[in-house]
Amino acid sequence: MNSINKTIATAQRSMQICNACRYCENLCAVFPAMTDMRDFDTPSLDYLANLCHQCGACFEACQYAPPHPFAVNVKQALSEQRADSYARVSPSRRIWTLVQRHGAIAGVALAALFSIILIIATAWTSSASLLVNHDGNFYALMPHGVMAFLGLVSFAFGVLGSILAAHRFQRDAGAKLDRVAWRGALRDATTLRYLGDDLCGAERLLLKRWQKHLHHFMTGGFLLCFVSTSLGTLAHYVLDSPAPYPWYSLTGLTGSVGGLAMLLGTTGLIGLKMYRPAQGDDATRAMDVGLVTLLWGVAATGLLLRFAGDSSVMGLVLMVHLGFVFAFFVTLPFSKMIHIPLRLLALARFHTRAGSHRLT
Amino acid sequence: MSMSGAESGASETVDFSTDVLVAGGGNAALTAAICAAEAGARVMLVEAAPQQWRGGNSCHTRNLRSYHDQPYDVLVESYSEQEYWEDLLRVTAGKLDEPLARMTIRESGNAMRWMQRQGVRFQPALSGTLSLSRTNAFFLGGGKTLMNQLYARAQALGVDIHYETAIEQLHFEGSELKSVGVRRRGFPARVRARALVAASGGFESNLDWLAEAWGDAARNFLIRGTTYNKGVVLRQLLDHGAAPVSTADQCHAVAIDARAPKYDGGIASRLDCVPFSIVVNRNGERFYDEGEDFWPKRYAIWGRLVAAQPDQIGYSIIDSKSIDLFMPSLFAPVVADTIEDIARQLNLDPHAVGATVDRYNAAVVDGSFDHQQLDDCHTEGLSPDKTHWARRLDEPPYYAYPLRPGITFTYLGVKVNDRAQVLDHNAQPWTNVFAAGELMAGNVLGQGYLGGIGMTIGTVFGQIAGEQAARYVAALSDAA
Repeated sequence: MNSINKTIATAQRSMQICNACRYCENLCAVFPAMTDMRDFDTPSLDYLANLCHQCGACFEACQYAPPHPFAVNVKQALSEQRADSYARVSPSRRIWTLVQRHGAIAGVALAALFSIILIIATAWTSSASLLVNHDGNFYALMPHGVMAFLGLVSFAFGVLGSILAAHRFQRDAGAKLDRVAWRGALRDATTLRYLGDDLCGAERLLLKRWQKHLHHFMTGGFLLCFVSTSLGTLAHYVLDSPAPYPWYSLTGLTGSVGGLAMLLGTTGLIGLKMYRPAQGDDATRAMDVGLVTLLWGVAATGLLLRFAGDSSVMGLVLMVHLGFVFAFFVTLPFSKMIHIPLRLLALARFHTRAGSHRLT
Repeated sequence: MSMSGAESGASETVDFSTDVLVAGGGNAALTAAICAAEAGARVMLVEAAPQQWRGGNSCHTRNLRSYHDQPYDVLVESYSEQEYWEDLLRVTAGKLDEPLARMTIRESGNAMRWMQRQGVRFQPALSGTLSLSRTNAFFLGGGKTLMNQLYARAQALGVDIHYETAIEQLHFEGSELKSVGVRRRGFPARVRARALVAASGGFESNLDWLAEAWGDAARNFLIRGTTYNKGVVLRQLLDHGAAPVSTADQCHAVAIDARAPKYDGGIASRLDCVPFSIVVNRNGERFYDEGEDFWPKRYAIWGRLVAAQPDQIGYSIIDSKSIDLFMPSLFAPVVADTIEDIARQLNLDPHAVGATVDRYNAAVVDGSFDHQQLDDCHTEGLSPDKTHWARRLDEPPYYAYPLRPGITFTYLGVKVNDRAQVLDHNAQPWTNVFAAGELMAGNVLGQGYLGGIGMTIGTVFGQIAGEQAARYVAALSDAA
């Protein structure tokens, strides 16, 4: 509890100095949002912290940053506040803390566990063998119904948990979100407007641009994979045409392109994280690495499956891929993925405040 | 060009040799370095501060004042040369070099564009900055972001930048600068330069020099910016025969929160409560009309006003009616439910303060309060009267803010011509010494201040100094 109070006190002190200075006013949404506040209680700080995209432009702009005695570090203060807000709205604080502590490997470890369970379960219950060529027919090893059921259950678990967290966040925020607000929020989110890449400093500019592009690749690829799965589901139930689908089919193409984009994006983002070593101002760094690694695994195993379809290891690869996918779903509320609903809600709230979107 | 010719007093080896040596690391210095490099000169820049403190006072700035005949980028409407000139004339009461000032104003239009070509970006006037959007262009991310971009640009142009490198001794031969003795991270070194641009600030960080000008009162001043402007280069230029401009007791000073740190409090320690308050000194007495004019037009005189008070301290007192009328303060105000209590917390005589407030309240003539107009709320029969925004202090809780003079920068500098060349007492220019920024701002600001003009002066004269220094060096090469 002590460290949380310290986090809040630090954030409050920083905000007070920021309010008296205001030079960062047009760097991003955080500063205009801060302008109307005189008191910085926890819900207000949570709002600002989730509006923040961890870009660091304000830290480089700040004449009160260390070594100045005021030692203002808004990036770090909001990063810690944000991590704390994630923990507080999470469906289970205990699970959250556990995952946070083992951030980088938690997701992958769970994926490995699921994979092993699936392999063992299939080996025990299925009449078909795992190490035989099945001509790309997944359902010889695991009935479609079972696969769909497992997928749905893990997905529902993840989504419901995320909805619960989002509800907790919004309940404390108390802002009414209308259509204009959501339109603004979605626009800012899909363009990553506040991942500041258009500020000064040559090296910084390059890195920030890369981060934006790679993030777009990752999410774009992910969405394409989602489209692919949906098309496959449609094909299965509506068109009576089950998997496997040829690579040149719409289902096949969206899946392959999506998976490739996702692989490129996640590989690049992992590389960026390694290139910029920890500077102590990123409280969710472990979770960031963990999520990006897990997603890398999802993409890599998925692409492998595409190529291994007609081989004798298809079964194994399938189980590993499913392990990664289910782990990703299940950890949705306990991973960095929670930034999606929370940041969207913060952005939507930003777009409801009349005077607060003065940004050029 | 060959290195022939004996150096005056040179017994040490030369460690560095350059075309243009720029002394300083702020806006004027970087502007000069970039312009000289763009013009083809080899440039070396020496900044006394370490990298994390680079940029001097420029890191605390937020805008520059720019003339424009039509809306441009973040500047709305127009701000003519004539209006700019009249504003400057008014605040300086005519104490300036007219041709240089007019040139500065004329060139201010280009200053913003020049900055943009270096990659600097601007933002609309900050919320709470009192209608400056017509006259002042604000740097996106403030002065430190501006400096980050100028440093990046200078490095990209190949300027040789040395941090923690302070100038100790200028070596002349007559009026020609031959070399400079520096101390580089503690170790002495010698730089031979064909031209020098002196852009290393005023002497505001030098408490001893301030005391020479102000007496003991200077000990109670706060310095709003850098600790590195000791005036070393300025002193040597003046000692070597440069003609001085303005005087040692002239400066840009504002009243800031007395609890601000001694140095580098910057913009955050500014207080905007004065027009809505009464201000008393250590003896509990008022000493000036707090409501004389809008704050942006008066804030610059309050530094000197408080400096003239005993112990260089003042106390701004408001009641709950006014607490939301100005930008939130950095430090929490002193709060109490009675005037006597506030006085006690401030270590003032409660009877004296109480009497002042009673006298003030009795003299208030009711009017219709409007903080956006020069309203008719005033006092009658007081000495001094409060001529606008005067309301009775009668609704607790009461709030008080202690004020001290905060020096932004000093005006005593070197006289220059329109090519930024330093002039001697016969108004003759030195061959190869140029000045820009605070070190020569006194040519344009004999007294008083106009918000944003400091950076304008730095950019305009930085450009001229850099170009002229490069031109001089090129002419030497042609002649050789």
